[in-house]
Amino acid sequence: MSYPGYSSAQPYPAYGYAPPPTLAPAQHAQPHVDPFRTYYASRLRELTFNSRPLIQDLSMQAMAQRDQNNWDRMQMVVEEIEQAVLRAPPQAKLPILYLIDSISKNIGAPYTTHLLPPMISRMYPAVYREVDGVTKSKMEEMIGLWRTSGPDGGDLYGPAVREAIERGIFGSIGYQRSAAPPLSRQQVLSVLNATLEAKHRESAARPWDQQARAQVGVLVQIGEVVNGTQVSQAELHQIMDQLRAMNAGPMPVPTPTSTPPFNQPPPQIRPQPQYGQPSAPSLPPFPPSIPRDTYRGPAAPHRASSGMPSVPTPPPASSTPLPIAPVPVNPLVNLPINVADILKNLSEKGITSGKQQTPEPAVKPKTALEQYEDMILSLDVTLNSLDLNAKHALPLSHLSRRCHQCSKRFPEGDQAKFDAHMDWHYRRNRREHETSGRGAHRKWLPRAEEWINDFSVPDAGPSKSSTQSANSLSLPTALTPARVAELQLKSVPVPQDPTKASQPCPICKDVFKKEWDEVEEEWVWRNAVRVKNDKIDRIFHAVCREEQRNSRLASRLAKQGGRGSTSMSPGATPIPDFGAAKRKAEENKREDDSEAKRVKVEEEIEGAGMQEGAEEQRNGEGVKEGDVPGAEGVGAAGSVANISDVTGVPEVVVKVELPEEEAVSIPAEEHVVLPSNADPVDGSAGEDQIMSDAVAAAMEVAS
Amino acid sequence: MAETSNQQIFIDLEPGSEWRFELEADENIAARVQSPNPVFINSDELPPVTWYPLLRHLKSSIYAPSYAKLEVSALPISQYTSTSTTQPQLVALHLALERQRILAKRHISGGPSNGQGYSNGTQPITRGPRVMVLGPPSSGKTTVVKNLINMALSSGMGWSVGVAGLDPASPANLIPGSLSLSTPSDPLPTHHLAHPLGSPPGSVPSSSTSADVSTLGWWFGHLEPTTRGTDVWRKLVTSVGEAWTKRCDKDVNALASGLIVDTSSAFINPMLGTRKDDPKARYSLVAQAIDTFSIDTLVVIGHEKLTIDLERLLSPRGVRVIRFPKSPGAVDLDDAAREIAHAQQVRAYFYGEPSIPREFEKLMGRMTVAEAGFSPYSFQIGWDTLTVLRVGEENAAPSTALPLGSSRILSPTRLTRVDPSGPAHVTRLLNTVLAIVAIDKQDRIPKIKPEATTDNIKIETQSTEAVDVKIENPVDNEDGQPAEEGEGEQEEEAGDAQEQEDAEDEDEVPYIEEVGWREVLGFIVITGIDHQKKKYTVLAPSPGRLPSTVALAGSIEWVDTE
Repeated sequence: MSYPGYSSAQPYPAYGYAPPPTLAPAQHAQPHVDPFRTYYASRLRELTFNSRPLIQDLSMQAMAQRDQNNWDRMQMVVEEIEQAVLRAPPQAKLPILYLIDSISKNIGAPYTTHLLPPMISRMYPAVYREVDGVTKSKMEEMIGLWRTSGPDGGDLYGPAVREAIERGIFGSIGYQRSAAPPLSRQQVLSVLNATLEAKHRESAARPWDQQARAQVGVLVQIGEVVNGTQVSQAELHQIMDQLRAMNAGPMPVPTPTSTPPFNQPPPQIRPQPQYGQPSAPSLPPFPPSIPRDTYRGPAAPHRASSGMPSVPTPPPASSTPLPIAPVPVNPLVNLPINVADILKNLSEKGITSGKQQTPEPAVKPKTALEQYEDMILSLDVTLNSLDLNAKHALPLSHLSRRCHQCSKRFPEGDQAKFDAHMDWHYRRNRREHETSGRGAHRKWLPRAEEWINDFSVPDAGPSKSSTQSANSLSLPTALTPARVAELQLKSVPVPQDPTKASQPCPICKDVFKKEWDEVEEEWVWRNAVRVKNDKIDRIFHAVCREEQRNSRLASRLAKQGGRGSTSMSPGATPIPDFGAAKRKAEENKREDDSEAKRVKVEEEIEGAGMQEGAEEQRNGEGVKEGDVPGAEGVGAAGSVANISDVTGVPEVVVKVELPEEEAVSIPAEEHVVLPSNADPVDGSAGEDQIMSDAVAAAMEVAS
Repeated sequence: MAETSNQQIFIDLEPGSEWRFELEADENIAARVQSPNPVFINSDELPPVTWYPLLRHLKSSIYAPSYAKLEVSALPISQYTSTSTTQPQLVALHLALERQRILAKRHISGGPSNGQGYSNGTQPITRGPRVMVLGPPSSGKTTVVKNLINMALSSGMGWSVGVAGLDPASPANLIPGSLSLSTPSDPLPTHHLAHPLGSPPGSVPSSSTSADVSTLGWWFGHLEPTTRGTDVWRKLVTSVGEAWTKRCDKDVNALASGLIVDTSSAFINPMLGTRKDDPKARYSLVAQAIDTFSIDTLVVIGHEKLTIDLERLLSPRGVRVIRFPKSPGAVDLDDAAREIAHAQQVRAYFYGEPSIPREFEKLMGRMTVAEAGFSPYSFQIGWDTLTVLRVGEENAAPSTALPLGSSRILSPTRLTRVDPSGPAHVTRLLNTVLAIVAIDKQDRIPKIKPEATTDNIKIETQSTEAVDVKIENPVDNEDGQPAEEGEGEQEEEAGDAQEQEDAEDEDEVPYIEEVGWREVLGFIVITGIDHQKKKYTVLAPSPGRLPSTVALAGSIEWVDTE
């Protein structure tokens, strides 16, 4: 793509230079080009007319990045949009602005709070000057709408950004740009906001602390004043001083850019203080050193000390000879609000002392939850004197972290819980992926005793342990979770033959799910084993197969052992029970220990296994394999071996003798078949390993 | 801009307003939040910018404490926004309950109570709030319970609040006719009508927070307690209460978290449960429930006379009675709507949560994770194998049928065995929902018989070994595939021992009466009766053997109409 990287380098001089209609592509190409950026840029290039589907699509993609919390790509979106706007011919700029509008309104934060504002405040005025009258009026209209389309009915990007844009468009320029930086409203506001936030926290943490609450009140008031009225430089300075005094630590004073300081400049944009200062080509250049000094220095205290009501400061730009449209900033301009009084108020509340930050030295910082407890208790809403009409908000502020998948909230600082929750989502999503359509069913309810004793601290997600004990029926076929996980990793390449490929698992009758194996670079069926010999060539679900085999063994053992466990039922058809996997591994062990197991069992196969029994009788004449139900790895590893690939290669039949001579023959497919060079023909790396190990062990025993 | 969004439907919510909707049978919609501030459905926060399905028949509301913008996939026919909401009152109530939980927790852990652990300056708060919600039909009792639960569970405190569902007509976690006790651990979403307080676990871990709720169930078998059925009802409630008490003895978190009890609307009838032996008693079932669960707070929804009556009755016992306003959004349900809800609840028990409708696939953007559906199992079981019992006096034979001169001395909670060979209108078994109840060894009434020795053996086999049943056919959600195994052999395997024994006595119920109010293991439905082969066809939630072959019948029926 021709715009591989993004550069925020000022493409044109700051003053008095009309930008060319189309901009040169970015000069600082970044070495790595994200495919998403390329794609997004190319889609953007198609946006040359007002195409709603396209705008929607591009918005959706921007939203997708937000949903994934992919900041890099969100940044890319914004950068590419800016590029697109700047490079588009004047008549094609509007659709892209609509896209910005769509993203801002449909997605909101963080685009509106972090990503778009810096860009928009410099781009919008620049574009405004390029376009024709109709577009201009559309753009003005759009700005007007932004005033009220924010989430709370306020400004979409916050008042500071809108003002910056309006200044840029309507001409009150140069406010912040003087030789020595005077205080801008944004600066004060940002410090104010930061202070306010800190105080809010403080007051939330100590709700009984009247002082903190009062401070918050005053700060909010100041915020309104600064926001809503024209405040003189002197007053700004004074407020700033007070705020600084309030903040024990040095408050970082934002650089006076047109970028609102509370919007962190995105990392890839180099701070360019001059950037975006609108320089209308139609207007004479604005002298860079307008004497702003009059409002600073010695003059400031004088104005403040007079204690007079806030006099609307004449717009600084008015001192320039420019023909300027009046700034339609806000309706409160002439409200006489006595800033000095408020400041006095501030000092009375002890805010300015800067020493009363921590009236009670905390021995150890309380956790968010402890603070929440204190807060609830301090509300003193009691059942005995409950006023249902009192206005309360559901307290959520102590839970600042939010899971974006299910909206569950977590306290800040409890990383472990949050991680556990995300893990839970991951497991469930994966699990659902794997087991969809696999005959899940409602479990029987627990007995009272189980329920009473089955409680765990709810942490990551819905109760987990309850599912374990909910089913008191214990089939002897239980697989350990580890074993199930192992089995589910097994894979078989999807058969070429379409008939075969459409065959379901013979046991559970569910079809297989195709999956792309990145290692093998082919389509595979997961959780599958291939059973192949003279009579049968079918693919089973690995879990089904294993459970069936286990249950057959178990029922056979029970029959022959005479007195099996009471939970076993002689005639029970082995039913693949996927819940069984969750059951405790102890059940397996218990079965293993049962005396019945010592009985040597002749293989007789019923059910889906069908002819395998006969097959084995004939095939594996005299050869006995040992296997223990639950002995992992040995048997199953070989089952993936694709015999057809090794036709003609002598078969090595592995014989495993267990020390206790607990020989139980296993079905035919458990023969580990190897080509003579002992090179496994199938399976992933892990299976290779298992198989080799199994073979090695077997060889050892055999020799 | 209008141009960019003229096909998207937005609903703007003023601060403190709620959007109410009533979905028709063919309306499935999805909503998502397009604004940063939290938005709630039954006090469960909606996930940000994620489609949230709201499925047919659902009547609910989405509440925005601060300005919010909702996007909906389609506008329901019946919908409006309103600022008259009871959410602030719910929050106030919640804060009071939360306070008690925290104090209880601090008391139990011996931590600092800041001297606030004394409600009246005298009594320390030693346990969480135990709240019972009362109200007329369609006043929003279950909704209040759900809101209180959701607020408690979303506080981040890890509470384990108990939910006792004593309203068989509006079951909290199970099916109509049941009582339940559960401890949800996460806030419960609201997507559809069924199990408003979460569903019991399935064989596969759930992917949403509304399922996998650890639940105990009991079977009342009717939609409302009646004065005649009082005896069974009282025993059931006592049984639920015992389970909760035992849980609290072991689980201090549950003790501190408290309990919220949803009740039947029949409770507002003062004469309910009043018998001849104490004709002046009023609200006797309410009083019994309050005693059983040690209720300390009674929330009465919108019923002034009831509030005053109960205040008079209960204040001496130290129970606070709080009159709570009925939500202006509460919709009066007619019988048809109730039947639909009941059918859906039974269906959801067997088939799991409704899946996400196809029409949502075209929606762009993220969708709330859906539950996978469940596959119940259908099979045949012999009449003699499955013992169907009815509980209570009303099911006994009429006294005119007794031998002349003899008078009946029957327990009001006696068990009667249903004879399936009788006429259908008498047995009333087809389409009946049955509850499977576990049988312990000691539940058998030993019979004095000549061959006592063999009998003992039989008792043992019966009690320890459930009769196994082969599955005939897993009934699939989409396509009922034909059975792979023949039907013929079903009961050959079904325990010969029982058959012989069951043949011995037809009417005598060989179990003690406690079986009638014991917790149940689940529910099955008789979907067919074969009089020739003497078999029932039943639908069971899980494959394999029934955990017990003793089932309790009631008056709840269900026909799957989907």
